[in-house]
Amino acid sequence: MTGVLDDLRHGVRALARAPGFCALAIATLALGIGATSAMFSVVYGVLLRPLPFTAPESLVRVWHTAAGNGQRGALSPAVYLDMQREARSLQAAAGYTSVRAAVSADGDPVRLIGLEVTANFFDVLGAQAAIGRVFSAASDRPGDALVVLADGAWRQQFGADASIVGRTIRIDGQAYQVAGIMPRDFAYSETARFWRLAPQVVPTSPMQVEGDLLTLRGLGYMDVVARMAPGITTSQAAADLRVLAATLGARHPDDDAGRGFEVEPVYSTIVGNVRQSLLVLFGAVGAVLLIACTNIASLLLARAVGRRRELAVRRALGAGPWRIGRQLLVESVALAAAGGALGVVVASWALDALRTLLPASIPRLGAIQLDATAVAFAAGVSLFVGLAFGTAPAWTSAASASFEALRDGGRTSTGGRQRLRRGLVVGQVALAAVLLAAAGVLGASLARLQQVDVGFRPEGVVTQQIALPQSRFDRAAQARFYQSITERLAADPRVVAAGTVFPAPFVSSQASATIRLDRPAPGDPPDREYTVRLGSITPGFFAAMGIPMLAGRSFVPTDFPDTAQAIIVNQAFATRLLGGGDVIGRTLNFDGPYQVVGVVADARAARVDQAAEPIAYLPHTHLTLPFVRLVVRGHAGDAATREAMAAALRAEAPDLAFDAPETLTALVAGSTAEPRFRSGLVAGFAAVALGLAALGLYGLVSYSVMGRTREIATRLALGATPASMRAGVLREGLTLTVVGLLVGLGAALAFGRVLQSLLYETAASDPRVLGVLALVMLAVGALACYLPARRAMHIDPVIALRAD
Amino acid sequence: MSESTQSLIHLDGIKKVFLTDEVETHALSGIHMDIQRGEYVAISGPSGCGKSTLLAILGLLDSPSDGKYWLNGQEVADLPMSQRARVRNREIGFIFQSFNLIGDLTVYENVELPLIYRGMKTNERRERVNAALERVGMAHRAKHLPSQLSGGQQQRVAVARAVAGQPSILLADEPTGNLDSKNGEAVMDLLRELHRGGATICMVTHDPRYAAHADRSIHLFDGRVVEDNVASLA
Ligand SMILES: Nc1ncnc2c1ncn2[C@@H]1O[C@H](COP(=O)(O)OP(=O)(O)OP(=O)(O)O)[C@@H](O)[C@H]1O
Ligand SMILES: [Mg+2]
Repeated sequence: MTGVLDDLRHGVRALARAPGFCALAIATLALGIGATSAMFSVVYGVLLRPLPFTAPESLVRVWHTAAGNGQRGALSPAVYLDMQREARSLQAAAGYTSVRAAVSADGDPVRLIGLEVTANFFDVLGAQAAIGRVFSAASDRPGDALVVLADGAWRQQFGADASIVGRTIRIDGQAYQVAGIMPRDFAYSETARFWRLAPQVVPTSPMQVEGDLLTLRGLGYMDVVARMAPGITTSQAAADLRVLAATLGARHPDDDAGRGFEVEPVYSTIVGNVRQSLLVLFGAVGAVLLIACTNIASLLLARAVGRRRELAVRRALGAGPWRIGRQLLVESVALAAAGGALGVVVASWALDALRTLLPASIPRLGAIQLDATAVAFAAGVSLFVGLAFGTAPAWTSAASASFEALRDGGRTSTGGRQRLRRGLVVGQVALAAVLLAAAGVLGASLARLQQVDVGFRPEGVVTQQIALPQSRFDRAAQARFYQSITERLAADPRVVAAGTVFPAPFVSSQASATIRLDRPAPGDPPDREYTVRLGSITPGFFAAMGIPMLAGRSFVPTDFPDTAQAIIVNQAFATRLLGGGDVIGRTLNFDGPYQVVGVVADARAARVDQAAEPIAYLPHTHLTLPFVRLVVRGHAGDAATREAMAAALRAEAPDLAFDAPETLTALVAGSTAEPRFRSGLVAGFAAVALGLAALGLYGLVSYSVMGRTREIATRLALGATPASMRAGVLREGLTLTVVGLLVGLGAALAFGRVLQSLLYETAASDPRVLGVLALVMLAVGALACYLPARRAMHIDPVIALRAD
Repeated sequence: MSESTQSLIHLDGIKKVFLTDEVETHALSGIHMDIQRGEYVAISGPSGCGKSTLLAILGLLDSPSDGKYWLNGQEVADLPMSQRARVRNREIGFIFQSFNLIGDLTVYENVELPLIYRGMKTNERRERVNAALERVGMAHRAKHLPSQLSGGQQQRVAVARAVAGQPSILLADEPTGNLDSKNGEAVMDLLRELHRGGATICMVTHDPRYAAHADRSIHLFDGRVVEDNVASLA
């Protein structure tokens, strides 16, 4: 052990003698390890850290699926209660709905997102409060006015005052007693800031329901999270629920025939969408680290060559190859340790930067931090890097530090080591090519995504969520409110057109219904039922959005009364379900017949990358909901439009609070935030990788030219032209580039399948992207070799005459 | 003038000034010299007197600061780089003090190198390389790498490389400087043999014993020719 300490002392001294080399190596390592550790923190926080629930692996989400297209949807109260009672595979199932509500203690109300949950909600999750208590099916009755606050809401809205527990706060004007505060890392769902106990055994319906809520089967609005019975797997639960679905279908053929359940682990629901994306990013940053390390290994190799004499003297003095190898290894581990320590600092900066860049759609962002796990990761990576990339130089040096080096003044060919360095450079170039290819196709995909014609004109449109308290607005009042607010806005000189709509554009919510057609779509049986999306709009909606009418007309006030039968469909509906042609006047049946009075162009509804689905629009009086999106197109700038909206809302409902308005452009952009983040980050990594690989190539070629100075001088003396020397060096460098490029392209093609699921209408092996990539890499390769090549050309042939 | 152009080499007032850190070093201060075909010239003088500088100019590795240089009747002092490379390749054969064999190339490939630069066909190259290696007695080592040869053997290969292209003149700078006396003698014998066969040789040496091998001895001092003795030929 003292031997190693001696080695360490020697090593540090030897490194101190080469401060330039040291600074470069440590900085490279710190950047590489720092970036990797920051990315690791994200991957760990989002994907790997256990969910903040007891035994999260036995938690599943349950959906009810539609007859026909099998689309997953929410559960209705009766189906939820049946499942709760009869599904053997589930220990317990909790239901909840998302609510937005004005929350206040003493001060002004703040609008927060929360959940209205069944009493067993926290029992199912197995979560405990940090302060106070959670509610529980055992101790609390539906209707007890209890609320549990999230840590964030408690800190921001209630000043982290622990005495709030037990006190009463107001949610949309109603009194609730605060039962407890959840721990900081608890989140279900991502955005919920409070959980209030439902007034009945199921959460309140978002729409007014006549009759007994508990027997309602047709309207699904509950999200369900369930804990599977001990020893039951997800697929066993799915099989059990399939049987239950068939039973329910037989029992209630009108409502439940053909419908099923879908089960998914909670983990998948939460992180399923971003998993691939984050792993690709982690892979990319890992590749950058690998390239950085390769540069260090290459530097170490070059350094070992320069120290051949010193090492040979050590050997001559009796040091065995193991001693010499160990000495070099200790040096490289010392370097890596310094790089790793600095890397942790870099990681904390990088993580701060990442936090601001990460799109809000990534779940569990709050769980990301540079904690002990991340530091341990950085330390592990450093040690690995030190050992792995110190071993090669140590090995070759120890093996060749023989007396030969003393005899010939260290001038015999260093072929073996150069070959190893060349191999490293080829590897770097290949990795950089893979990253560039990934960045290229992700960029091409993003470009396609941004070129997508969404089917409406988002510029100049401001939207605002309107939620009306059902306690004060019955259906008729809701409909009147939508009509008067849009009419008031339409009369405003700053406004071009105004309408309300449900579902809101580019927000993931939807309504659907089962319909029959006057004539079934070609090839379908006459009695075929179709599940289609429904929209509820006021007449100005299409004009406000900029969705063109293709045929017929938009709604007019005569369509409003219950006796009217007007419906508007989009083009996808007209061609796919109605067989195209002139569809005006065709009849759709649900709750009675409706006549098609207009056809609008297709518009993307929720995401830029999802093509329009068939949708049928009803007047707001026929499908009336307490929450809609107000959509207003202005021509005096968004600020003026906002003012007009605020003024109209003040005039129509002076005592109501509303969510802040958002521009439609921002909503649309939000749906491409993740691909933009992903491709931006990968492009950044690829640029760094390319730079590092170019540096590696430059280092190798310059070093090789330097080492061959005498050889090149001799060749010049023998009659080689300077230009041919330059060409030779360029050829050497470009050969490495081409070999690396070919290896990289091969790897990129193989790796393409991993990326494919992240791409929009772009092939992972897009030949144009790969072609551009090849050109870029060749150009960078030529650039990296140009200076050393020029140096080779200008070597003074007189050097050949000099004795050593 | 017509007389001098018939010389293989004619130097007229060659000067060489090196500028380093604003210090001027006058390495050569007006050299006038003729070398005829078939001559064996030894250049000697104290260290730093300009021998290597002169050889570099003779071999077109460097250009003079002033003066004129005719090689084989052609003005070469101010030729552009690529032309100089061509002339060097055809007219000059170099033998270096530190051999300068290329470590990654075999003995055969080292000798072949100047012929490749000349653009010679493979067949002709093979004949020339083999003949040159025969001549220096290294044909049996054609496939070896330089690191597998002794110093004397390496220098013989270097001589083979210098003569393979049948240049007009062989230029040697201290060809025995890195060799022990036995190997040094062997190389000198080889040069004398080449001279007998008609080669023109210009050799820098500060060893009077080796200078005596030549039939003309030029002494430099401080960048000037101070003595030029032609040994009387019996
Ligand atoms: N590239 C150069 N830059 C500056 N000065 C130079 C350069 N080459 C040679 N000199 C100087 O020119 C003078 C002549 O050098 P040269 O190498 O020709 O001497 P030499 O006679 O060959 O000596 P030696 O017997 O030691 O080899 C010396 O003073 C030397 O320092
Ligand atoms: Mg000299």
